[in-house]
Formats: sequence, C-alpha cells, structure tokens
Amino acid sequence: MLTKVAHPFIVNRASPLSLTIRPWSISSILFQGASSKFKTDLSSVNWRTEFNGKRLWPHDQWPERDLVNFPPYKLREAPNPVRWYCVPESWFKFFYEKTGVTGPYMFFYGLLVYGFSKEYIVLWYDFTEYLILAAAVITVVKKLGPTVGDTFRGWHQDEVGRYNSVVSNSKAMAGKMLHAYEESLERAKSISLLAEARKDIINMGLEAAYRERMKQMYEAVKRRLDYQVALQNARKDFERTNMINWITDQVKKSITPKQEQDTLQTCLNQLRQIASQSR
Amino acid sequence: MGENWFSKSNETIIPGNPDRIKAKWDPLQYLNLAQYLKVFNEYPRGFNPRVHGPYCPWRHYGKRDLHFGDVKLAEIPAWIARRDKTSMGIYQGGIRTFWKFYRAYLDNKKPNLIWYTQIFVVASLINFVFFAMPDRKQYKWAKYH
Repeated sequence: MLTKVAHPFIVNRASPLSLTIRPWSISSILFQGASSKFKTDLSSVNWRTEFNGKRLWPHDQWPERDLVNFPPYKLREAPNPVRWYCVPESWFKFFYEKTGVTGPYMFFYGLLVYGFSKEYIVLWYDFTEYLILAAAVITVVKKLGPTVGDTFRGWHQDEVGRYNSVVSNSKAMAGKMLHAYEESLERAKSISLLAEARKDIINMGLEAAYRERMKQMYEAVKRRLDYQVALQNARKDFERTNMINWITDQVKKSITPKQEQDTLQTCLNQLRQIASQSR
Repeated sequence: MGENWFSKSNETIIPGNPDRIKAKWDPLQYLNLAQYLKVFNEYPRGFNPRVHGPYCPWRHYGKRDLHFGDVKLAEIPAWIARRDKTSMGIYQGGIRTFWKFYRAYLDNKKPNLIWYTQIFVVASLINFVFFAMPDRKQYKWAKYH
C-alpha cells in the first residue's frame, strides 16, 4: 500500500525558497496544533552506519529502541493454520474455553440447519449442482492441492536459487582456485626437492669416484711396499741358503777318515751302554 | 552545506517535487492529485522510529489496549468508546487489517491459496445474503416457518 514520505523539512535558516509559500499538507492544516507536538523531526537524526571501523546497528545508535515489544521484522515460515480451508484456527482457540472443541462446528452446522429450516437457503433444483460442485472441488483440492503447491514453490525456489547461486558458485570457485594455488605452491616446493635429489645423486657419484681412486692409490702403494718386502725376503733367503750350503759343504769336506772312525766307535760304545742299562 | 543536491534540507532536488517541475504541458500542473493523497501518506501519531524501529503497517502504535477477544461483554461499550473513531483512525484501522491479512497468509515462505478461498467465501456470502436470498424468497416451499 502507500508508504510513508517524510514531512516537509523545516529549514531553520534563510533559504533561497523561504520567500515562497511552502505548501503544507492538508493534515498539517487540520491537525496544526497536534501535529507540531507529535510529529517526528527526522532531519536531526545522524544516520551513522560505521564508527571506528565497526558496523553500527540501530540498537547501538538508539538506546531507547524497544526490542522486546517491537521486535525486528522476520519473514514468516508458514501461513496461519486454517480449518476447512477458510476458517482460521484462532477462532477455534478463542471459542475453546467457552464452548469446548465442538463449539465452532456446532455454530456453523447450526447456521446451515437454521438456514434450511427457516428457508433462507431455498432448496430449489440447482441445489444438486451446488452439492456436487462442492464435493468435486473438495476432492480435487485435497488430491491435487499439495502437488500443485509444491510444483509452484519449486519453480519459485528455482528462480530464487538463480540469484542465490551466484554467491554460492563464486564462493565455490574461489575455494577451488585457492586449492589450486596451494597445490601449485606445493609443486613449487617439490621442484626444489627434485633439485636437491639431483644434487645428492651427483654427490654420491663424486663420492664413489673418490673412493675408487682411494682404493687404486692404496693398491699401488701396497704393491710397491710388497715388492720391497719380497725383495728383502728374497735377499735374506738367498743369503741364508747360500751360507747353509757353504757351511755344510765345508764341514762335509773337513771330515777326515780318522774322525769318522772315532765318532762311529763312540756312538757304538754309547749304544752298548744304553743296551746294558735298559735291560 | 544544505545547498547540495543530496542534502536532506534541499527540497528543490527531491524527485517528483511538483514545485520544481515547471513545464506548462506537464499534467502535474493542473492534474496534481498527489496533493490530496498526501493526507493518507503519513505515519500514525504514536510512531517513533527511535523506539519502534522500522515502520510495520500491521502494528498499532498508539496506547496499548485490550484485544477484542480479552474484553468482557460488560466492558464492550467502554472499549468502543476508547477507540479512535475519527476518519483517520478508521482508515488506519482498515490499513492495519489489510496488512495483518497479508502477513498472515501472503508474507511467508510457503504460501497457499487460502487467502483466495477466504475472499471467495466472503464475497459469496455477501452475494448470497444481499442478492441471492431476496431472489430466492419467491421460490420458497412454505409461507410460515
């Protein structure tokens, strides 16, 4: 319906249009004394929405806001409950204390019977049509009502979803992009790992070559040292064998036949002694 | 500061201001019916946005009084005497009734056709009581009931 437009603003200083006759509303003319008392002057309200970086709500700006008796507007979930598709439940609740549960039922059926009996509802030939029409309408509404309602509401919800999905889709896309960025950052880190792996491989190769060369050096030095040792051993061996052979040859040469006879005789005497002792 | 086009005290720039539209061919000069509608385009007397918040047309912003269901039968004349019976009060009551009906059956997330049925039933009753019943009186089966 008609929404409110503010009263004509009262300018407290000389304005370029103050010389013209300002057209007041008719209500101001009629309620001239009253409206000046009860009219709300909204031009002096400072409409701050932010202060010190924080969002200001009406209860922050207006401490006299009565949120208990005049709560903020909320969209209702469902319409008021209704019986027989046209009689509100609040009427049934109102009459429950006074007449009980069957009160309104008796009232309406009683009205019907009163109309028939006093011939306010005349039973003429078209009454059958109205009866069958009522039955048909009630059957159709009971069978198809919920389905049709759900279909329409589904169409409406699709249209609403077309607007709401914009934000949801952008949120989802933003999430996906963030995930992709994080993945690429991880991949960037893994590239450095690869470089480190390559460096490790090269270092291992270098270490292997170093060890190889160490081994070669060791073997070369050992070969030379073994040669020297073998040389000395061979020299000693030659000297020893030469001396032994020379000494034995000389001794053998110096043995005279008389010495040989003497030694033989002494050995035989010793043997006779041992033989006599051992018996 | 009040001379800006967006200043709240500069009435010349508000769109639709008939004083600003000076064209002779504009019907607003000779067919300005909005001046008579300004009477209906006002807040109720007890409304204060600092206390009540944004305007809800289905609410009564005057002095709190009993609901019609809570008033006793003996107090009905006194209750009626307390009501605002001026034309403006009746008009605002009618507006409030409409907005209550709207909020009860149309201003929700799962609307249905009960509002249509109710209007249909009321219109049918009015037609029956004031037009069909006088017609049918000629076809009555009995003279005395």
